[in-house]
Amino acid sequence: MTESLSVSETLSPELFEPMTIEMSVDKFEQPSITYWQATWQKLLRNPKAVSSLCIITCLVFITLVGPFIWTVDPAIQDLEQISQPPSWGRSALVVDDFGIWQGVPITEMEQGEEDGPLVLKVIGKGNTEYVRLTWRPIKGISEYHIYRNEFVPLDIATLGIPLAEIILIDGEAVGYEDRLKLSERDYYYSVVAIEQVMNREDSDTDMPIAVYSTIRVSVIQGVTKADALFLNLESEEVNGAQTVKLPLHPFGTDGLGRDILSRLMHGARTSLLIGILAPLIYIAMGVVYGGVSGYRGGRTDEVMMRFADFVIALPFLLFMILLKVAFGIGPGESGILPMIIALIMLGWPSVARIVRGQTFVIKEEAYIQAARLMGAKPFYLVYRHVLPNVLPLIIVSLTFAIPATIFTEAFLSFIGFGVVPPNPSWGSMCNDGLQHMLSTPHELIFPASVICIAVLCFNLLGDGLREAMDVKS
Amino acid sequence: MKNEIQDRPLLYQSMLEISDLYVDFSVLNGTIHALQGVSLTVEAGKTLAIVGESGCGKSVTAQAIMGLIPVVGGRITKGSIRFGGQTVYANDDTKLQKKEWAGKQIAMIFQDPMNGLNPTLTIGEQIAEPLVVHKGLSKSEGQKIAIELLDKVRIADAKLRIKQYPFEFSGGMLQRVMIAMSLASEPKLLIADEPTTALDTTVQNQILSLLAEIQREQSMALMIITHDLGVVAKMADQVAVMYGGRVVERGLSDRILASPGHPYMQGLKEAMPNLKKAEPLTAIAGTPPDLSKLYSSCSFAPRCRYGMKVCVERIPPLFSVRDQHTSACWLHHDAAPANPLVLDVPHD
Amino acid sequence: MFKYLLKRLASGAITVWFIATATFWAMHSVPGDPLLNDKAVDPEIRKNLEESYGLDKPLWHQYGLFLGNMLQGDFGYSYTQRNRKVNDIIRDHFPVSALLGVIALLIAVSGGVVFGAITAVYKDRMPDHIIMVIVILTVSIPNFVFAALSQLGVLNLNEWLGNTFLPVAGWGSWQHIVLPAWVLGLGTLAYLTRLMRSSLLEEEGRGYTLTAHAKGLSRFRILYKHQLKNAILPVITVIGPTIAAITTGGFVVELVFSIPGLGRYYVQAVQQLDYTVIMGTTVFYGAFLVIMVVLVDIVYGFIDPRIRVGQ
Repeated sequence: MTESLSVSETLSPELFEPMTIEMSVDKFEQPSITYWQATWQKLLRNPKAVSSLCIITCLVFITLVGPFIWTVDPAIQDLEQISQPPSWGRSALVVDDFGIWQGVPITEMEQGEEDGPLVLKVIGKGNTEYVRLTWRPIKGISEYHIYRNEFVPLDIATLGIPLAEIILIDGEAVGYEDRLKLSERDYYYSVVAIEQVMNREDSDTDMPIAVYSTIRVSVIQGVTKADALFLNLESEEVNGAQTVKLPLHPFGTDGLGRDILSRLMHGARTSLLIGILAPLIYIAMGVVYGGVSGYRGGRTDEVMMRFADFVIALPFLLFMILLKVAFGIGPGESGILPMIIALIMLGWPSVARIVRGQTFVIKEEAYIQAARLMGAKPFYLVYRHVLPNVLPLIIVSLTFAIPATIFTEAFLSFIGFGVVPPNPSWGSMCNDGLQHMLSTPHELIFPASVICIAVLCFNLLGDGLREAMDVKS
Repeated sequence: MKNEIQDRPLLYQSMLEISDLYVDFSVLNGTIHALQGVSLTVEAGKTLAIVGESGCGKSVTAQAIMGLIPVVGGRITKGSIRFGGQTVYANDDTKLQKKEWAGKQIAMIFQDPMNGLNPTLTIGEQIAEPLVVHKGLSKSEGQKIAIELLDKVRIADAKLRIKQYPFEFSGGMLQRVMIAMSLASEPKLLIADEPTTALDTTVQNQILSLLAEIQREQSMALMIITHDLGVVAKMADQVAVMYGGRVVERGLSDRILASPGHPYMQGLKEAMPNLKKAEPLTAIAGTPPDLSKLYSSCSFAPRCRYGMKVCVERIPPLFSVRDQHTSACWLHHDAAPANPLVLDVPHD
Repeated sequence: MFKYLLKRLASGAITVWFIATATFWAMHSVPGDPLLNDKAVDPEIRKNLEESYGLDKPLWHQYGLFLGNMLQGDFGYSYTQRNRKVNDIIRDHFPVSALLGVIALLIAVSGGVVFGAITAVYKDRMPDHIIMVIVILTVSIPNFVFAALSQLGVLNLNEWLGNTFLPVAGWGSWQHIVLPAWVLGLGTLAYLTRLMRSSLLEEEGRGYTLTAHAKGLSRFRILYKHQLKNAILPVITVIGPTIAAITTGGFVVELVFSIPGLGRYYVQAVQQLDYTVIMGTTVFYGAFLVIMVVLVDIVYGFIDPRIRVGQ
């Protein structure tokens, strides 16, 4: 009932001759690979880690090369295009420079019925620089209120924000010029004629009776002649109107009209510089400190580790803020270097503790003892035996320290103690974007997504590495 | 081919029967074929010892019986296990084993008593747990029986001891606790997976004597897994030798110990220290087989001093060596030379 | 157990001293003048001010005074709000932060344990995959982004419902707590879920789990009777750092949600270089966190029989 046998089969006698070594080797030996080859192969089998590694590589590449290709200055404020959503090239109508617009003289107006309804008219094309309105006044009424709404008004109570109250003087021009924060969209302007109670003989009520009329105005992007000239914009004729091409902002602009793409790339330099440099340095410090402590052991170890314990016990972010302030850079000044120094001062002990523990274990291993008996110097021992053993641990710590540091930078920049304008960082961009979150969410969403993607990729890569190198967390 | 046998008719009533069992484990870079066609029987009231080096599949066999294979992350791909009229087949889930066998009719104790007990529960709670869960006993009744059981495994001050935690016991004591716990449900079969490996030599003997004594008292079957031929000699009625996920030799223990039929078992015997004669110990050269492949050959062939061409060509079936002793080695084939050439086995 | 307690308390006290010292020296190496806000102060008045804040004394003397006052629980007067004591600021605003933090912590711990258990039980199956994807996304989103996004979401929800389902800023009623507490707890919840999952999976490989399976116990009983208590132990050890994370996370959440907590005042004090408030609050926070860590250690000692009975 065990292995199925072909009982009847006769086996030829030569099968029972001794086997050769080659037979054994062919059948049973397998190729051996080094630890790092095995790690690499295991990592390649993890799709999450591989794609993360690709994205990180792209990110670093864009950070290094991007600003040379997309050469827009991240600090230049394009006041014509404040808080613009992402777009591929926009053009703008060239309009008159700022000046006083009087309105349309009554004499030039088409004559209509004497007591007819209010007729509103837009003079020129409504654009983001100005909207010019005029209307034919109702006889006997000289007071008019102007309202603007972003939606169709339903009744007199929903006309929108009041813009002006105009008292007409006989024979003068009629008109109103709106310059209040116009953006590219439809507006509903309403003009209300306020009938004074006094003026009506048949009135038996004290209430003023209001007549109003609404007009829809589609506002397009406009730019004044002076600005177009100043910014050296390329002009062209479209349908008889003079237009210019506005500077391109593929990711839109922020609240000060700065190019978000450019800021993201320059911000990546800041964020990744801090995120990678600080952990590299403090991990190196931790390795040396922990290595020395673990290797020396005894009294030295006790003192060194006790000190490390105290530094660990400091509340991290609290002291990040404190140290950042202490290094002479108060709020309002860009502080990349102080931030790196503060991160290093607080970051090294946890690494030191891990390395010290590992060194302690490895030091007792028989092969180290053997090497020591053969006269190996401590430096050689640490370099040749201890370091390779803690290297996987260090690499994994590094991949997790980078996203943590990016987070810390973002946190500090967000509450205003990190990198400060005009130097962009992802965190400070989020802080800026938060203020316009409701009207133009892209200002927050772009930098926030970049932080998330970078942190996510480093985390996934770290997970993959930990698994591949079989490091306990 | 008169001595090529299927399986001999059973003299005793077989209580547990494992047939052609295959167990796989998925690992990061492939599959480990931990069991590659294991067949075994355990007879009522008798002791079967399973012998072999680490990684040969001894423990996996025990886990398969208990229905623990999914727990340890493997799966049974082929074969069946029969116990008390019920059969579990490959690909079935382990519900039956869990519901009817484990902790009721079959109990198991593990190699490392230090880790085998829950560090955060008292000894008493853990001993009485099968009773409370399976038989619906109240907590105080459970504790009473726990005290009796501790007495039975000769732990003094049982009344006090049941309120203590595992870390307050020594290794040998914990193994006694484990035995007491396994006895709680009065099993018909007790599986002891290397019960003495983690213990001191003197304690080992005490535990083995205790096991033997309890087996006699309760007239239950015992399956003892070990790599120590001394344990086999002391305890076992029958023995099964495992290598590379297969049973390579089985039969009555004194016969096999006296004259092993398989070169692997011969090697094991030579590697045993003998206190009476001062002989140099010989180790078996080479390393255990790589179980990530399914062999179509004798997996011991690369380490075997009698290696023949047939050994790399075909899997050897079980040949009868004598009455109640079979061995899976081509040397027992009719066509095999009586005095095989001894090869130089490569050492590595 | 008593020895264990004493040891933890002593090391806690030393840590608080270390924090106080580090704070003092860090603050006194700040370039910039604490009294700079008063432009063109009369030298006489300035001298008086320096005297009243003890700034005229040598640094070591100031340090001694600072430690002495601190021991009596007195952090002095604020530099920017002249007639307000630092103690009053802490007393007025810390309860707000504490309430928010406690609720966030409860959300984080209970959620983390439950979701961690679910993912461990359903390892490599759908619920595990879904929860772990959410977890890894959550730990990759900075909490201020999450705060802003949730505000935006609830605003839209309110608009859609036509009434205020939840307020998105301010303080005063329980509805005001819901959103910030959730935002504050979420990151920690995700972290604890991860920890609980790996902790439980580690228990899965332990001998006693195998023993429990061999006893024929149900999966559920093994989980709640055997594994949970063991798996929660490592989770408890990180509650201390978790409280620290929630405390500092509170700075951001209080800013975004305009909550009058101590965190917001702390950030403000740093921006205005209000020395006494910074030092007082830092030492207070430091001491608070150390006490929490010690408390957690003590709780741990009670739960783990190896410590409770052992020492």
